Amino acid sequence: MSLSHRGRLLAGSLAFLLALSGGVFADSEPAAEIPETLEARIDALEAELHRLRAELAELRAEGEATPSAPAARAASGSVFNPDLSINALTTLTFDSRDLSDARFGVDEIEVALSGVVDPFASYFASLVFRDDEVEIEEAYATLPHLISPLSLTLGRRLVPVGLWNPLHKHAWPLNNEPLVVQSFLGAPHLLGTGATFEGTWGADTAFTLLGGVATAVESSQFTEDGLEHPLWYARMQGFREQGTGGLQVGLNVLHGPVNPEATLGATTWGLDAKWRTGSAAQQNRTLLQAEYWRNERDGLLSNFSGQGAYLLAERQVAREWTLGGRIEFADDSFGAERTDRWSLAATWQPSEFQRWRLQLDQIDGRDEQVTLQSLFTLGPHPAHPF
Amino acid sequence: MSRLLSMFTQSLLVLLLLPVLAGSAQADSPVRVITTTTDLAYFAQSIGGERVTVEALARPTEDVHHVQVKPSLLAKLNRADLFIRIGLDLEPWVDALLLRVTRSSVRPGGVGYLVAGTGCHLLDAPTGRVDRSRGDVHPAGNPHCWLDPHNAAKIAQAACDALIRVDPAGRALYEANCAALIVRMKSAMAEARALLKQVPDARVIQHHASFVYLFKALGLQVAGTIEPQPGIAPGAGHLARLREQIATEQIRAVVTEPSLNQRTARSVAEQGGALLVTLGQHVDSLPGTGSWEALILENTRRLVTALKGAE
Repeated sequence: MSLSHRGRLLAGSLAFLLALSGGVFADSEPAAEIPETLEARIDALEAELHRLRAELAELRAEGEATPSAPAARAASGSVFNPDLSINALTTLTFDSRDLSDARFGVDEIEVALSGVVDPFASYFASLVFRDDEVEIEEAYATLPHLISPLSLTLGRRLVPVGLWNPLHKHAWPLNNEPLVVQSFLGAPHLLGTGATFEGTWGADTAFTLLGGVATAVESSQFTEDGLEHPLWYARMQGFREQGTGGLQVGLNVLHGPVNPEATLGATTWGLDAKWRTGSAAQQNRTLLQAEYWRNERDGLLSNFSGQGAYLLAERQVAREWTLGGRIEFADDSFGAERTDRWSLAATWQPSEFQRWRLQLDQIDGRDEQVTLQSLFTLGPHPAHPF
Repeated sequence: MSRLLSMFTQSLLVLLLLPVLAGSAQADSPVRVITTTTDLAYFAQSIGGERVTVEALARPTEDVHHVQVKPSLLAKLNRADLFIRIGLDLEPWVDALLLRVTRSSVRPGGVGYLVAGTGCHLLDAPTGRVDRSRGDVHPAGNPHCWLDPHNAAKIAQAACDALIRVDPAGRALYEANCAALIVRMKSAMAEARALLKQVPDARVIQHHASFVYLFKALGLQVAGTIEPQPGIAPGAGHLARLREQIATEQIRAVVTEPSLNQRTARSVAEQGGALLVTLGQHVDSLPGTGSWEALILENTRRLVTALKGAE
């Protein structure tokens, strides 16, 4: 299918969705009349109601006389400022191949701005200072009910497939990304500029469908030779709530051209599962997470075909301490260039806003690397998804 | 490529059909109320009666400051007619949901969106420069305000007003039920105060500042806090000073709650010579606390038992 056909399909779908959305904004049905059995009770309580109304009026007047702090902030006008947060990641690295070559540096500083634009949209933007360069990592608007029940996200963002890729670096459960994410999505992320539709339905069992199209942004197989062809992606996800946590499984697919003429493409499939339970306050938070990705490239470019997976476990053992580990592999060309790695990490988090993590990685049973990473957070950052 | 496009088109068609199906299921249904806490759910259910269905997003024994942003929470919010939260920085995770919720009426500014804590009288509002050197401080004041009877009445009234906004036909029922609820709450608090009169020395050590409103309403005095700053774990020196304070001042009870790990609180109580008391800050967080009134009375009974038992 040519690009123009895809464009028409997308435009047609958009128009249809917009037409349908009109009904969603209609007023709800008027509620039923009061059941007769309640009338006697209402009569008996009317006198009491009058007395309580007077009392409540007094309470209200009292409240108005002493405005709460948010009210005072609103009056000052600062409430309209976007939320600003800074996450500073610093890493000290030792490599077993050359212990004298310890590297210490600011890994990344993320400056994030978020806020509500108007009743119909919100905006998030993050600037990342990395390796003496400044990059706009994300800058996107979310229009949550323009075409209800689907939300629409427009702009540049971490492509929302899999479990690892949508997480900001400071929210990773370990200091480095999995090999398979590095190989087939991007290092450190797969970024794209485009549009994503997303919908979530259900209750304790929830289903999410999302699909989108974007132009991939550097550091991935979809961006070689400065490609600007569209990358299509979709994710289907099921979630079952269990206490304070739950079990989530997802199926992902990405497809895009990998040569300038767009005659050859790559399709990347992924399966993921995540189970989380417990809570930080009760000091029993547990996380199990796994992803499997399979990459298939057309024609002669099979050196990027392959597969890979990781299994990650994390357990909070005390209020401030968490232990974690990961085993993983990634094959390029289905076994020709297989890499195995395991990692162990101990994380100390004295408050919500400071974290230290010591991690040991062993690659292919010989090369070892130790990293000590610190994270300092300033300001309010939007909560990350499950 | 064709296989991918086919899958994508099929997914879109499913998505397009869903609003139609969802719309047909909404006719003549009760008002769907989603709240952040079980306390708010109890208020909404008591006021709304059979005209509403109510569900809380946070579990009663969950730390309401740190709820996971689960897909199921978004799915529930997407179907709500009315969403009630305390606000006051109590539930920061809600903001991540509100950015994504597709139901416009339950977003800030919508007819079905209520920040119920706005009108409450708040304690412990910080003065001077507010920053994180004070720990997980709440700039507006302590947000655990629903355990105060006056604040609870204001929250109930705000919930009643919100229900009337989204369902005007239920006004008479809502107002009557709200009045009855406030009467029950006042009565329960009077009974609790009478129970506590049996205790001559009502000083306690608290784990987290979750019960300052209840303690104030009951006339209890907080002599110390296990967390040196909100959300900050205590060091060995701080715990040693607390144990010494308990022993020298003969403080009789250390108060904790189900959402917190109780190892530290238990060791402070045992080594200092006080009793550990587990109180519930949310409806249904303890056995037999299915209502706000029952929660207040059960908390008071536990306090009285511990404080008298240590005599």
